[in-house]
Amino acid sequence: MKLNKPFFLLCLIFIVSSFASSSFALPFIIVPKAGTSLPTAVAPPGIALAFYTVTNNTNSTRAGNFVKYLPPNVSHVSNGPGLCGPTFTLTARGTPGDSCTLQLIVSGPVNANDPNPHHHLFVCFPGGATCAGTRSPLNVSSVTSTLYGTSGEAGINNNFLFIIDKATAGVIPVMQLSSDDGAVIASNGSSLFHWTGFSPLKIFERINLQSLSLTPIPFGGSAISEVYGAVFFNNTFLVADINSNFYSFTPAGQVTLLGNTGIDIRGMACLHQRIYAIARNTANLHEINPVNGAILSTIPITLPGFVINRGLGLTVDPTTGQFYALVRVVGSQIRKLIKVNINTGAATLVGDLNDGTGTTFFASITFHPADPTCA
Amino acid sequence: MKRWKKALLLISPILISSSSVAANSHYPWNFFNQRCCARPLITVSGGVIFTSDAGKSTTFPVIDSSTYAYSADHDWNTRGIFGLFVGEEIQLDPLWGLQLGLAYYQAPLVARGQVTQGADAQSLDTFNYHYDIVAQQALIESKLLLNQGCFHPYVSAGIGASFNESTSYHVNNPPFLTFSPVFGRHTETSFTYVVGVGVDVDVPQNWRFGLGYRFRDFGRSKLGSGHIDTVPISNTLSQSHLYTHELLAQLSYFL
Repeated sequence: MKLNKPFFLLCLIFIVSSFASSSFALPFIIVPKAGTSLPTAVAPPGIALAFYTVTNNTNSTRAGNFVKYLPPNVSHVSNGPGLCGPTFTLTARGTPGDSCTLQLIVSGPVNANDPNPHHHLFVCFPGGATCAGTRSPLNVSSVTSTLYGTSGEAGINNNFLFIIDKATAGVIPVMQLSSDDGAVIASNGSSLFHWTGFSPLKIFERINLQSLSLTPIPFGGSAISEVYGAVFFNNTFLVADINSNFYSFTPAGQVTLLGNTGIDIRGMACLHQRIYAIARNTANLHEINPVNGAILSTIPITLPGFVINRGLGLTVDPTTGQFYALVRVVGSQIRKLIKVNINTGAATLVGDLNDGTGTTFFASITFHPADPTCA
Repeated sequence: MKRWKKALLLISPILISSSSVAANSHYPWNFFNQRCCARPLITVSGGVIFTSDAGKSTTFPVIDSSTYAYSADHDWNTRGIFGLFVGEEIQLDPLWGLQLGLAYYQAPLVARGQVTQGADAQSLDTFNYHYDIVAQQALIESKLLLNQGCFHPYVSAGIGASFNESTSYHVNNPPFLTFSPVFGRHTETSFTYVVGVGVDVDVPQNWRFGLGYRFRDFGRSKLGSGHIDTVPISNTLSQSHLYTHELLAQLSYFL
């Protein structure tokens, strides 16, 4: 094919000029932090986290920089090592200290095409006039629930809260929890709660996702040991402990023994007023009686290509009714996230729950908020 | 503004006296009985205005560690102009006539340029900007005509006040990536003048048609106060003279 030279040159000029007109040399370069991806969905009252790297794009040290604007439903976490503070200093571009990490909490939907510039991220010099935004704006839709997980299993008493991508099992660290032996999390619809500690149970706390803080809740009533599973049901948590005891555990901390399940229950889920549980040593699925913890039915979980040797957690996506389980398989310490058919026990692998350290072993998973029909 | 008012006061007696004389006069000139001949007329003007002078380059003092350098385009831009003249034509002698009256002209112009902004060479960005200047002129205008049969070559001049409205500033910075100064609307009043040459031609039934050239200084223009996002700034874009060239067609009717 013969090229029409004038046409080719015209096209070249157009392409070059288009590129030139879309390139900007701003005072800051703001890009998603390497190794992270921006959230695309959030389930209020749950949160999602976003991380940007803010780099000084000038040849001088700049002090007093600040975040001038954020989209609605987005707040700035300004304390922490390496994080961009309320005001922050960045050295000249290309020198150590020329960048910081901007950690944002997303608590609701964010429209990347909002026409109001004040609804977009802007980082400015101290005077508030020299500013830069990002070419990668947040665009987050609101969904009804988020999958959370906590580490703390396998004798490593480091309870850390993560958001789990239910499609890939990718994890995003959220915050440190109080740490002791064992870890279980569950949602009551408005808040996420956390239990940890062995013989007796030591810590019961509410996780404040908006402020990323913890509120310890004193508890009392029936004696209880390390919590193995919990689910919210009819205004209280149903809790199983390491001794297979079955309790009512109110969000205010009142513990009442209801019965004994007869097996080690690790993880419970509620859908449409029915309570399901996964067993620790058999990885069987059970339906249990919420009144006293009695086993109503049992089916095995089958995961093609793997032999499950431990069930650790169970939860259900309230938006789809899909059950997810946290399991360990023969030959691997890394916990796996699987999808389970609650009627047949047939499972499919979602992925390994791995934050990359090789030492973080997940102990519990839950959707937050949980199925509102169980509340 | 005061100068304009003074000029009006000065010209009013002339117009009034010449009108009263005209009521009893004949046309053309009656040299021998020394009766002055004057006729009121209305002229409508329209034409093409050319200028390469809209906007002026300037650099603002440093704002929040950044500089803002405005480079005005001086490409010729062509627009329309229209005007209205009300006055009288007085025959000074058989050869010369003089038109004297009040005139109003309006021309919409556009100032364009580029603003280069940034904290240093590393972070400089350049964006295009433009704004409208609605140039308006109120004049005491005169035209000295030579009577050559039905042709009337002339020279013209006028002085008065301009009311130049600068408005609709727009800069094409990406709205979600950075801020650039924006400016409000402002009308600037200043001294203005016009000079020109041309030729008018008599056509039947009290009409006259003409073509001419005008050089016009619309005077000062200035945008309103500016701000960068929410930060007010003390500088704005302005120019002390706005020079234009025109090709003007005129149609006059003698009452």
